[in-house]
Amino acid sequence: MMSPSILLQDDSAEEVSDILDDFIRSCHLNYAMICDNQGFVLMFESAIWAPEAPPIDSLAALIVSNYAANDAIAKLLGDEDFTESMQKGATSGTFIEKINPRLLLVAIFSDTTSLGRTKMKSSQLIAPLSELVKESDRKDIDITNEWGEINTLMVDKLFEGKL
Amino acid sequence: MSTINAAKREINFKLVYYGPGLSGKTTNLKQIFKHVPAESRGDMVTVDTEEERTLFFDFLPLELGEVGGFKSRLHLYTVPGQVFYNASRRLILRGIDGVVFVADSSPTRLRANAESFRNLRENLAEYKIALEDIPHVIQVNKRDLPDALPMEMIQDVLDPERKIDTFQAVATDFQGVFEPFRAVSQKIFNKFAEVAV
Ligand SMILES: Nc1nc2c(ncn2[C@@H]2O[C@H](COP(=O)(O)OP(=O)(O)OP(=O)(O)O)[C@@H](O)[C@H]2O)c(=O)[nH]1
Ligand SMILES: [Mg+2]
Repeated sequence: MMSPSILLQDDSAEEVSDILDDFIRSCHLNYAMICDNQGFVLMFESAIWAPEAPPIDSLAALIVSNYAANDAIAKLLGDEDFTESMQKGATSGTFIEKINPRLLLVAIFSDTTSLGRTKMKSSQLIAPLSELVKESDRKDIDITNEWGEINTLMVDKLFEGKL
Repeated sequence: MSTINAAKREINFKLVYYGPGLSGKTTNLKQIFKHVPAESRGDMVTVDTEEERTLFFDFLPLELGEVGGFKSRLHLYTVPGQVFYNASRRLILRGIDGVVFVADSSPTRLRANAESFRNLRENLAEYKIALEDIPHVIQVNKRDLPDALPMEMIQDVLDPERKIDTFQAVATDFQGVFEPFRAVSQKIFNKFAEVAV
């Protein structure tokens, strides 16, 4: 079976967070995030000027599935992938860059964002980010024998009084 | 394949509700949404047609408490059951940790159950996963139908050797929604604990 993978380690988190903050500042983005191809958010950062963030799990699930669908379309058409993935509305939009087969860098922009700069900057960030965020099987979480049972009890607790 | 975010101290799991069109997959997620406390769930996202048929997926994130310094999170998805949405179904299976197969008790859907179950195996095979390798349970839904098929008949088609944990449900009434969800979650957690220690 596929073993669990650790994608973001404690010791690189701060550096990744700084990179995203700098990305936001220099391009005047509203938010920047890194998510995996399952739709899980590894890191999300907001600008101080950004409106309150939308529900980020929902956002990531939609962005990642949309990206996956586009990828499938490219393959149907005989391409490896679409190199650019941009969605743009009147006041907002997303720009997505693949860090590696498992990870995406997502820039969420506003009407004051510089798109040219965002594209340039995000392509420069791929190399440092792929060094910092990668699969590792370092097992430093403490999984005890009771771990599974406790989690199951927490599932029961979700429905307490409803059954 | 669960994702561990050591920095955010989260362990993430992906659970997919699979089955033929109109068997009640979306209804399961809606009922779970309705019955869990608001602080333990996020918004439910639905990508569907005007007739409320799932077009791409439904999505519901749930958060459990903390164990050993890590918070477990479950992301629930449904696939679109209609036959011609297979490309979308396959995409949703990526990174799956467990599956609830929602079968329909209607006599007219016996074949659709069988075909969808076979389709699940085929789509998992695209990711080099055998159904037996991941936690899975069967929910036989719509037991309230006056002409509901006997359980044995449905099980003979899906699981003739009776190897798979199977639950009866009337999802619209929240009957039998919790039990398969709990059972598959338990299998997912135990499997994770097994490979992680
Ligand atoms: N009688 C009865 N109807 C049900 C039950 N569960 C769901 N339904 C109804 O069946 C219809 C389809 O339910 P959905 O949950 O949308 O089905 P689905 O599996 O998500 O369908 P697709 O999105 O097309 O794959 C709806 O009208 C539900 O109200 C049940 O237990 N009994
Ligand atoms: Mg549906």
